[in-house]
Amino acid sequence: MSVPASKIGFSPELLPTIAEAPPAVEVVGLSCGYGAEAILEDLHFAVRTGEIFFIIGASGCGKSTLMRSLIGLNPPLAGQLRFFGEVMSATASEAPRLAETNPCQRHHLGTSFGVLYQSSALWSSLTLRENVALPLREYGQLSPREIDEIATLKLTQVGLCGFEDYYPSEISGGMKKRAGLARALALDPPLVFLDEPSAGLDPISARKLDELMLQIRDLFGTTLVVISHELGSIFRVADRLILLDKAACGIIAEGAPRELARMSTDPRVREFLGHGTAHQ
Amino acid sequence: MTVAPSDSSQARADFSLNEAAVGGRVATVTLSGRWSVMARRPSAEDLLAEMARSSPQVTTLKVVGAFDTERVAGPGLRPRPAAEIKRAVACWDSSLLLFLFDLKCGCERAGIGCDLSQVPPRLCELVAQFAAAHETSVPRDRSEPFLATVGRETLDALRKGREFFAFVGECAISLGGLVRRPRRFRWADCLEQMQHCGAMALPIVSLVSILVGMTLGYTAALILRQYGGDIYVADLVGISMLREMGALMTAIVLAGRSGAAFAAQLGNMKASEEIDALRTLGLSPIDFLVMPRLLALFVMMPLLALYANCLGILGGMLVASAVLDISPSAYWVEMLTIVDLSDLASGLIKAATFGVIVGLAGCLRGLQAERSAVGVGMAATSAVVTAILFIIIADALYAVVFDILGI
Repeated sequence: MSVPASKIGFSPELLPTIAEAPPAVEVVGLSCGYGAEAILEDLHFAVRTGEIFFIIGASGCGKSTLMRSLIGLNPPLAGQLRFFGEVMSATASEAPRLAETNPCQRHHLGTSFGVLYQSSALWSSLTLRENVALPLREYGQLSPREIDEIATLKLTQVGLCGFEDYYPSEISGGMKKRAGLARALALDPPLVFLDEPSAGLDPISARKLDELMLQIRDLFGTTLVVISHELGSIFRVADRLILLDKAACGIIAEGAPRELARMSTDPRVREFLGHGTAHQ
Repeated sequence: MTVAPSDSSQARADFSLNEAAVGGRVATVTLSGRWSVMARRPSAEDLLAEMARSSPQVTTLKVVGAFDTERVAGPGLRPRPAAEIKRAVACWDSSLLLFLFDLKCGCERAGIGCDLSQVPPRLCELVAQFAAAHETSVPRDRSEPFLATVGRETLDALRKGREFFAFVGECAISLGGLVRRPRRFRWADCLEQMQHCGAMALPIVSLVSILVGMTLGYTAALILRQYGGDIYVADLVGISMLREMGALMTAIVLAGRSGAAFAAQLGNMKASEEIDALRTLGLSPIDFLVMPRLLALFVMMPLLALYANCLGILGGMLVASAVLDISPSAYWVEMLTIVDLSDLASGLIKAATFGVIVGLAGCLRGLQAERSAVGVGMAATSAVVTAILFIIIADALYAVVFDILGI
């Protein structure tokens, strides 16, 4: 099977430092919303390979809407989205939805990135092992034994060893998040989107999840795009972030969290990140 | 030795075995290529088997490869020349990790040392972590002795029986409350439910009823025409629709439509803790959610059954007119000779009972649903099955009771 280099995961020898790394995600003039109504307009930003990039903002500013556009669930109203230099979606009128794409495109999209949903979105009729194994079964060419081993490995990696045969209804919220992350990492994608990973978790579980994100990035060089408004997480793990604003319908700040908190003169940025300096 | 298949387009995961070092006692495995979970990885077992065959004197297996031990964000990482990449581990993921784990386990089984000192420390840590977890992990045993299963199922059936009677009792108490304090009842909800399970069910009830009437007409015509009793088609269709089919078919339609909807709604509300929120506020879910639905079905089912009777008779009339050449007026007059108000009343009494059964089954299964998507689906299915089962039982009981009473 021929697999594009950008889809296989970490290539340490090929990668320069993060600052010089090629962009994993490029968003060019993207407008997104529901129906004809745009919630975010003319967004421009790039996420570098191997970076932990946060998309933050107050509730209702369009973080989840942007995430849905990034992962192909809502076609953007305008603009372009590129993963590793490859165009992933055009506008709503031009691009078919993910489910309607042909099998080849679907395979390509399905293996390009992993997603951890806010509610974990584990399939309730499957055990954790089966949840993680499903993408491998669908897209890989591995034997059942190998699939089983990788599922066990991924669950071990997120600290769920021994829970492989549990159903999602039998585990706690924090464990569901970790299982969701294991499923997102099943194919070792070079890019993972995480929607509010710490939401609803206690501080210890949230911190463990943050450590896990760092470990995954450091070990496999995975690019992580995280939607969140948890200041603790942002200051602990984010390399860079963009701050969305509802009134501005777009990005009002971009940069490293500590620099923004210290240097920004925009009162909205200072108000949002100012409280987070306590977490530093 | 090279085990992995080669690919013309790019370097696949691969390794080579060199047994020359330290007097043949230390074998070296050099890793190279692209290691991906998307493709089959080379077999560690094959490597060890080959080594055992060719050099049984080896005591240590050393794993080497052109890894870059710096993290991606670390300083000094620069692209390497293409020739170097061919010999290097160009990219790796969990596939390599599993290969190293297999190799480590295989070496342990064979009593050979496995030297991973040349492998990036983080990768080594993960291999060790995986190995430790693998040893301590105990698969969950879901098997159960037969007697235990029988016992558990029996207790479960008893619990469900108790819950059913408790639910009916709570509904009766709530009905008492409704009679005593009608102004506290949620009439707006009840009217909304009437709209959903009554007015909005008219199209499907119309279609089913007229088709049932026509089917009865055709079936009756088939026999009665042979004896010259064509006109009695009107009697058969009229009696069947008023006493049985009108109420029964409407109830079955509503069991599938409203009963399942009630179970799904309440199941979803249970999953999203809305019912818990009612209880903590001291509000009874029975008063708040169940009674408006029950009353709506109790009122709407007889009305729908009446409507179904009319359309069923119309269906029979159409068949009589088209197939048997019986005029609508003759059909109507003949039907009135055999049908009286007691037939209509018995059908409407049944319909009201069936309405209560559909409502009770839907609401009970909804409140018993597990807090998950699967649980809600199962509750909806169970509500329909329960409702239809009890409708048939009630219909049979009514047939006996009406026969005894001479109605």
